[in-house]
Amino acid sequence: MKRLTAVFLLLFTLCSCGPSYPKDRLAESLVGLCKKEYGVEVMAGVAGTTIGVFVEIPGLIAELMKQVSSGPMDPPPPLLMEGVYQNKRFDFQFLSRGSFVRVDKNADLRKEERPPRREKKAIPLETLDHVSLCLNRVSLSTNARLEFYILVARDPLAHLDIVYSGHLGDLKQVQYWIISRGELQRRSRVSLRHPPEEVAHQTVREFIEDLSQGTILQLLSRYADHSTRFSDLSPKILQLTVDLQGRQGSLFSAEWPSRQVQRDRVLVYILLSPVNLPGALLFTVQIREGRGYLANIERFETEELPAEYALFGSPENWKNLFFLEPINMPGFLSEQITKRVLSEFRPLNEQEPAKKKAKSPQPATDRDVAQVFVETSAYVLNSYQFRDFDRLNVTDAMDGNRWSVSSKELPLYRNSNAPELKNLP
Amino acid sequence: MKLFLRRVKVYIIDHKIAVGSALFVLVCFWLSWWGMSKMESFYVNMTIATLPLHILTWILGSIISAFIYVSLMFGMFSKSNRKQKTKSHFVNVRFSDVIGIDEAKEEAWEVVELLKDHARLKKVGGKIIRGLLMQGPPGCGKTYLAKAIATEAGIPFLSLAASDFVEIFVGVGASRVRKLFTDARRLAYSNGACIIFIDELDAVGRARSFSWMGGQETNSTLNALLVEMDGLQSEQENVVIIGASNAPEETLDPALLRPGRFDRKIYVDKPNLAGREKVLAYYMGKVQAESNIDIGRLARRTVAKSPADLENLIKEAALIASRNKHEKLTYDDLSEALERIELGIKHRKSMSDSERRMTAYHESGHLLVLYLLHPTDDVFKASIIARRGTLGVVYHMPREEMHSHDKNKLLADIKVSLAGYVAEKLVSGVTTTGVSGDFQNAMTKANAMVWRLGMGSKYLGDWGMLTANGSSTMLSQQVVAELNAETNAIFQSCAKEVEQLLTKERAILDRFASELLKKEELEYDEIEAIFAEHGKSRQWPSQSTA
Repeated sequence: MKRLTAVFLLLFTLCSCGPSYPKDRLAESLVGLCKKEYGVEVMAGVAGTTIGVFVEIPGLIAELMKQVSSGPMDPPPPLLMEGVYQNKRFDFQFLSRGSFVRVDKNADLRKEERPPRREKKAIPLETLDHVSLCLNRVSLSTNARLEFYILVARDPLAHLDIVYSGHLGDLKQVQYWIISRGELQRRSRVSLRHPPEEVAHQTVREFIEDLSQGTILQLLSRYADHSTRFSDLSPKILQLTVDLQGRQGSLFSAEWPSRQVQRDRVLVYILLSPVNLPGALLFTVQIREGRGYLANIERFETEELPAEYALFGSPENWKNLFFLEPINMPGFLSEQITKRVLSEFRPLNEQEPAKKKAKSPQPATDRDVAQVFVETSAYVLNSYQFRDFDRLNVTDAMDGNRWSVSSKELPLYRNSNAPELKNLP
Repeated sequence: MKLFLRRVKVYIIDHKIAVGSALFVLVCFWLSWWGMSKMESFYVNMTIATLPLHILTWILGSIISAFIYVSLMFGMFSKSNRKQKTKSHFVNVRFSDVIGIDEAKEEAWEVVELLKDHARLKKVGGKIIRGLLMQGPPGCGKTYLAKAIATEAGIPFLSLAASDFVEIFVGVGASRVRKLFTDARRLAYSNGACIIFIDELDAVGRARSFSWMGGQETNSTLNALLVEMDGLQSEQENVVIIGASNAPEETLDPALLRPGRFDRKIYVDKPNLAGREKVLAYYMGKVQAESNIDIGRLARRTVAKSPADLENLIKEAALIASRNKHEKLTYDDLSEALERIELGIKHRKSMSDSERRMTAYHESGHLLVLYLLHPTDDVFKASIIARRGTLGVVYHMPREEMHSHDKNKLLADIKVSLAGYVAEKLVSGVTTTGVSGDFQNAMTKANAMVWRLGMGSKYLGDWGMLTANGSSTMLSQQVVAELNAETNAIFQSCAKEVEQLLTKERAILDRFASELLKKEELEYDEIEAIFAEHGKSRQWPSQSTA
C-alpha cells in the first residue's frame, strides 16, 4: 500500500511537470483557447515579460457605463498626480487645486447606494470575462518568463479602448488566498483611451481634407506638434499638394491600413492609385494626450514599403496586428502608487451635511498628501520586494514644497506610527 | 494456475475489507490523477501546493465533526468522566483507619505484602495475584479497605464503578475496559504496580446470558474484562484488580471467579460486637461526646449494623444534639437517632381510649413474652406512639450476632408475634386488625420450620423445594395436608403457651399496659425496673447488667 501511494504521488507530481502552454506557442495558445472555448476572436502577443491580448467587443463601453452609472460616482479628486522612475529614483508630483479631504475608509456604502445585482451578465461583459479568464489561464500555466499582462478591449461602437493591465504575481497570490480580490483590483490598472489607430486615421483624414484649403503654415500649425518639424514637413506637404492637384477626395474611397508602432506613433498607409498616381503615402502620426500630430509624410514610388519599413510587415496584414508595449516594473509601481494615493482623497464639499456623531472633515494639506505618498510607496514597494531605487521624492507643484525619503528610511513608513515627513529646504 | 487462482480467491475473501479499501483507494487515486491530468499546469501546481492545507482542513473538520457526534451520541465513547486516576498518597487511607473488620484486614494485608515485595515473589517464581474480590453487605468498608491497600502498597489506584462501563451502545463498555487497563498498565510500568478498583462489580460481572433478547453489551464488556484480566496479553504488568460487590457470589460469572482472575476472595462482613465498639469509639472520637456514654451498650443495640450505618448514627445523633442545644453528644441523642433510623419518625395519631388501651395491651403482650420467653433478644423500648404505619412497637435486638437460629429461638419468635393477639383476646375477648403483621411473621417462621427446616414432628427435609412456583404439584395432597397440620399445631401450641403465660402474669401485663397508657413510651431501664419490681428480672449468662 505504501509503494502504491508513493507511485501515485509521483504521478501527481509528474502531472504538474509540463507546462500546459509552452512558451513557443503562447500567443497561438491564447488565441486558440479563446476561439475553442468561447468562440471569441482575439489577437495575442508577447513583448518582453508582458503578454497581451486584443479583443473587439461592440457595446462593451455602454454596458460598463450602465454598471458604473448604477452605483455612486464621485467626482475626481482635485489633484493632478504623476509618478516617474528614472536614475534609480521615484519622483512623484502632485498639484492640488481646491480643498480635498482624506477618504474615510470605515464609512460603508449605504444600502441604496450599492450597485444592484444583475441576474445575468450582458454578452459584452461576458465576453470580456471569458477573454480575461483565458489570458489568466494561459499566462499562469506557461513556462515563459512573464511578469505582466495587458488586455485591450476595443469597442468599435464607442470608439474607445479599455486597457486592463496588472502583475501576474498578483493573480497567483489571489489564487493562493494571499491577497484579496479587492487588493487585486487596487493593484491592477484600468484605463480608457481613444484607439490610437483611429486618432491617427482621423488626423490624416482631416489633414488631407484641409490640404487644398489652408496655407502650409496653417496646416503646419494645426497638424505638427513641434516647430522643429516645420522644416521637415513643409516641402513634403508642398510636394503632396502638387501631386494630388485637388483630387485628394478620391483617396477616401480606399481603405487606409494603419498600425501603431510605438506607444505614441501610428503609421497610416494610403495607396495613390485612386488618384491615378503610382506608389503610396505613409503618414507617421504622433499621439499625444488623445490628439494626433503629423510626425512625418513619405511618398513611395511603388506600393511596397521600402526595406527600412520591412519590420512592420505588409500593410495588407496590419489589421491582424496590435501594438503591445511591454510593461516594466518601476513604471508599473509608479502608476500603482499614484492610483492608490489618488483614491485616498476626495473633494471637500462645503455644503456636505455633517453626519451624526462624526467629526467635520479637515481639509488635507500638501504634507498629508506627501505623507500618504511615502506610506503607500513603502507598502507597495515592499509588496513587490522592489529594492532597486535610492530615493523617493515627492513634490507639490503648486508651491514647490519637496519631501524626500531614502530607500533605507522607507520601511519605517510601513508602521502604523510612521515618522512625520519633513520639508526639504 | 488453478491453485493460484484459488489462493487469490481465498485471500480476497479473508481480506475483503483490506482488499475493498485498497481498491477504493486505487479508484480514488486514479480519478484524482485523471482529473488532474485534465487541469492546466498552474492549477495542478496549486492543487498540489494546497493539498497539505486541504488535508489538514479535512482532518480538522473530521475531528471536530467526530467530536461533536461522539459527544452527542456516545458520551465520549470510551472516556468515562467519573474515572479518576489517583495516586496512592492522594487516597491516604491507612490500614489503621480500617476498623471493625479485622479478618478482612488480615487477608488484605497479605495482598499488600505481596504487592510490596513482588520482586522477591518473582524471584521465587511465583506470580502476583491478579484479582481480589471483596464481597459483603453494603457499607462494610470494601472501598475503604481497597483504598487502604493502595495506600499501604504505595501504588497508583484507579477507581471506577462498574456501572461506568455500561452503555446502551454495544462495544462502548468493552472499549472503556480496554482503555482502563491500558492506563493501568502504563501506571504499573512506571510505578511498579497499579490497583484497579471496580465498585459494584456485579453491574458487569453477572453471569453471561446467551439469548437473542439482548445483553450483548454486558457480555462484551465482561468478555473484555476477562481477557484483560487473564487473556492473551503481550504486556504483563503488575495490575491488581480489586472488585467489590454486594451480590451473592453465585450471581457472578464463573469465568470471572476462576483462579487467575479473582483468585482471592475476601468476605467483608458486618462487624461483631467488639468491632462495633471499635467503630463507634472511632466515630465518637470525631465528635464532641459526653465521656460517660456506654459504648458497649450502644454496640449491643446496634447488632447487624454496618460501619456506614454506625457512622450515619453518629451523624444523625450530632444533628439531634445540635437541635436539642446540647453542647456534647449524649446517650439520649444517640438513642433517639437510633430509634429514628430503626423505627422511623414518631407521628402521633388521634386514637380513641379503647383503641389506645387495646394497643397498650397488644404491645405489653409482646413485651412480656419477649422478656420472659425469648432466649436471645433484649428489649430496649416499648411504645404506643405511631411510627411507619404501626400504632405501637416493642424494640428488641439480639444481644449478640446470631448466625443461625435454633428451634427454641424460632418458637420464641412465633410466641412473641402471637403475644399481641393473645393479649387483646385476654383483655377484651375480641382482637383487632393490628395482628395481621404479627401473624405474617409467625406463619412464615412456623411454615419454614415444618416445610424447610425439618423442625416438625413427622417430616424431615426441605419440602419447600419440591413446590414449583408456589404450587405443590410434586407433593401428594396428604403430605401437604400433614405438613400444614404440623404448621398449625406449632401455631396452636405457641398460642396456648402464650395464653397460659399472660394469664399467669396478668398483673405484670396490666402494669405495663397502664404504664404505657400513662407514659406512651417505656425505656430499657423502666422496663427492667418493672420486671425487677415483680421479681422477674432476667439474668444473661455472659452479661450481668445491660
